[in-house]
Amino acid sequence: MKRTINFKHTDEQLKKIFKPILAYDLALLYPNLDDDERKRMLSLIGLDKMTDMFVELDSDDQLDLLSHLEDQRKRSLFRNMQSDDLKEFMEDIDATEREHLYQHLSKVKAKTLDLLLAYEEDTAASIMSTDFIAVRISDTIKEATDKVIKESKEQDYIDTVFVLDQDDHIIGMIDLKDLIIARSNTALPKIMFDDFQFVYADESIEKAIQTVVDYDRNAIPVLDRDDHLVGIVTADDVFDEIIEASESDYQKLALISDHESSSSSWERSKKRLPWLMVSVVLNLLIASFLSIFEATLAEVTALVLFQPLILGMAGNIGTQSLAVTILGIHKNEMDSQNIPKDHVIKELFIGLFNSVLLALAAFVFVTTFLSFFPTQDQQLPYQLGLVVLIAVFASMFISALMGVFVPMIFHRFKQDPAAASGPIMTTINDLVALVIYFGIATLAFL
Amino acid sequence: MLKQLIEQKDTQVLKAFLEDIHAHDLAELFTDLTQEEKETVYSYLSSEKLAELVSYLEAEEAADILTEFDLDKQVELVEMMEPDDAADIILELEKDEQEELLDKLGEDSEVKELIHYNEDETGSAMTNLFVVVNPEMDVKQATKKVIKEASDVESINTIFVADEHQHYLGAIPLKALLKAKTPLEVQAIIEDYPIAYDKDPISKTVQAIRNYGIYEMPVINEQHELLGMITLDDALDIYQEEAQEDFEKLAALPETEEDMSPLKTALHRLPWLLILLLISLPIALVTRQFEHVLAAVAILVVFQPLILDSAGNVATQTLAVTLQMLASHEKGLWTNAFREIATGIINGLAIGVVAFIMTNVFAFFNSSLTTEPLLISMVVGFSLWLTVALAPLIAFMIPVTLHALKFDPAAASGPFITTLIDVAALFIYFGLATLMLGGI
Repeated sequence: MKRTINFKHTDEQLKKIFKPILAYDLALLYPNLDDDERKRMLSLIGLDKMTDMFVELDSDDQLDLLSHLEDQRKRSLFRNMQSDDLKEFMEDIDATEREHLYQHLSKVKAKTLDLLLAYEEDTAASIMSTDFIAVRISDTIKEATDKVIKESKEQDYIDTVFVLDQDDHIIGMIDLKDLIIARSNTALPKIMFDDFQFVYADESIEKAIQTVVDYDRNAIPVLDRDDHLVGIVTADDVFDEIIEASESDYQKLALISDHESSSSSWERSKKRLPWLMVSVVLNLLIASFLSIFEATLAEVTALVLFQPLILGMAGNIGTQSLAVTILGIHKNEMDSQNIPKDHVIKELFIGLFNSVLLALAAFVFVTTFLSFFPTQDQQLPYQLGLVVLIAVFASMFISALMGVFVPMIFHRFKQDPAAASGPIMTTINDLVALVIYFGIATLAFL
Repeated sequence: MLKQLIEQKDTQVLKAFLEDIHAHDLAELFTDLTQEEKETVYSYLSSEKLAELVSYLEAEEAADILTEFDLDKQVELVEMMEPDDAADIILELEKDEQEELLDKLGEDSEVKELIHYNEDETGSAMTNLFVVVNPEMDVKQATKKVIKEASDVESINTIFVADEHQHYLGAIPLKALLKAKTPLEVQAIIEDYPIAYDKDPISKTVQAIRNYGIYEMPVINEQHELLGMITLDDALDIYQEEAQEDFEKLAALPETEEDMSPLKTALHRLPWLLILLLISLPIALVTRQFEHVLAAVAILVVFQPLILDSAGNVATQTLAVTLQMLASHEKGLWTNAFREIATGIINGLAIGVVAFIMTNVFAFFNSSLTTEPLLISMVVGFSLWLTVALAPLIAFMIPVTLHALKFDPAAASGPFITTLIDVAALFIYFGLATLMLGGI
């Protein structure tokens, strides 16, 4: 939603205007304001709203926002932020800046932050938050309820409460609604469930995402290997991760990296040109290689009529098996050691089957075309049809093979499988297809 | 695991296992069972667990299972499910079975209301498992209502407020309600909270849930009546499904279904491939028009993949960007179009210059191939620039036109764009060649 705010109003009026605007929408507004307007806005909205807005801004605007705040308010803002959001913010800014901002953190928060920043990327712990409520198994219902309602901080996740034993091991979870309706003399174990889903801190982000999605939980606990509760992964963070991952897959398949609708033509060109250039250079190398077939091409000009057909078919089937494999890797969490035989065999069968059918179809297509539109050099339609048949079959099958194996090999070596959908693959497919096509033609006609 | 338990015929153990296992895990094991084994499982499952299991299965499979039971049991199961899950499954039933079940469900069944919504509308994914309080209630009274209804709802983290005419007024976080001191009316502590309309596209609502970082999104109709809510876990599932669909469409893949036989999957993917084969007809026809140039300057052929590939790559980029904008209902489509075309012109120029230089170098070292290296390089360079500049225009116009005609732009754009661009690129390339080299 695009909004414009008239800053000619008095402070009182502006306050009323800001009140019904949700934090996310304020964050959209923020980059379009000038310095004075920003200052006024920040002085007129509450701390909670400012915190929610801050989280949605990008790194530069976050730093700008902080520069408008007095130290006291900076401290309040940091105190009010979820630990994972704070970590994400600190991660993106440079080290000197970070050090400078650390002085506004409470000791506890600074320590938590150091801990979170120490976890390796790609581990479940790297997306966890530490703002949860833990109760002791020996607590009474009243003590537990007070921890949730009275002692909890604004940013704490309270929908589920985690239950610890004397030695801080997690032994169960309680849904807030069960806690609220429990009679005061009920013992905690009665309303706790102990068959809960969790992840270990050093397991992968994918594992955490899959657990949240599969079991429809809004939050799952993150444990260290001694079963101590170290944090929680919440569904809204999982949502962000999923969006990021699927957008990146999509953009890689479409050869657009880090696309933002707000970027200008220059920025778009700069981002996309490198891959396009790679493709052009590779294609020119193919061209120079193919020139060895010049004699064949001069002799049988009809060959060029079906060149796009062969390249197109090989490209299409390759993209199909590539996309299925990438989806399969992400969805079934095939781990890099054990490549599922079923998937490979199935895709190979499909590749073989469709290559044969399409090769036959292409044969019919070529012979029919040539009998309606004969070419100057009077080649027999059937001969050329056969050449196309072989070329279509071989190039499609090879391309399907690459679509299955290249992303799997990338995955095995811990690279992003979606990176296989680049121009290098296309170019290799093109080269193979054309060498087969022109090669067979040379054998057949010269 | 489950299979062995069934074989062992130890009812006690099997029963305990089925009660303990999470419905998601059970659903995964369940699909591998034979019909006979499935029936054994039904006989030991409580209705509640069975309803949960059915909700976790794919809608189609769930519908098949539902029809194995008599009508009374079907009604019992449907009433135990969340209304949105039930609606998805009922929609998969045969027409007459559907009507029979809906009749039996009774007038005020939530499921019935959901079924009227189109799959793409927010209303189709609503549930009604939340607590609503009245603005004039005292906070103490409201708290009592929350406690009374808590066991029937999914979450009490957010309490919605509506007046006696169901008009939606806002929301209260549970914590605020519990901390408030009586006497105080609920309306004094209402907070502003996002809303979605029942007719809004579901993708827009899902995006809003993400943007506002909320776990429940209230859904209202045009009269501002509170109808239900969309939960974050449903939003997640919907997003994942849609993202996969978009990805598949970009790859010219039909919707994948798990557990299809290889042969069926192969036949499923075949139509697109055949269509893509047929559309090479206009390409061959165009090329045929230029046969005399090609016969005279055969070397032109080896640069053809370069030109078609580059135009195709650029078109895919613009198409993807445009589809994303259409899908997320973003504003600024035309600004975007302008930027894309400008991007095409810039990239085309850069690529064209590089290709011109490289072709020249290449022709210099292979002087036997052509007598006119400069002219050929110019034809290649210029053609590249023109086609790469033209590609975004086509790749933008086609999805936008399809969208305006109410076709799915993501599914249909690919083949149209490929053909149009290839034909245009060949006209430009061979046309320029005829102009500049025709006399040779």
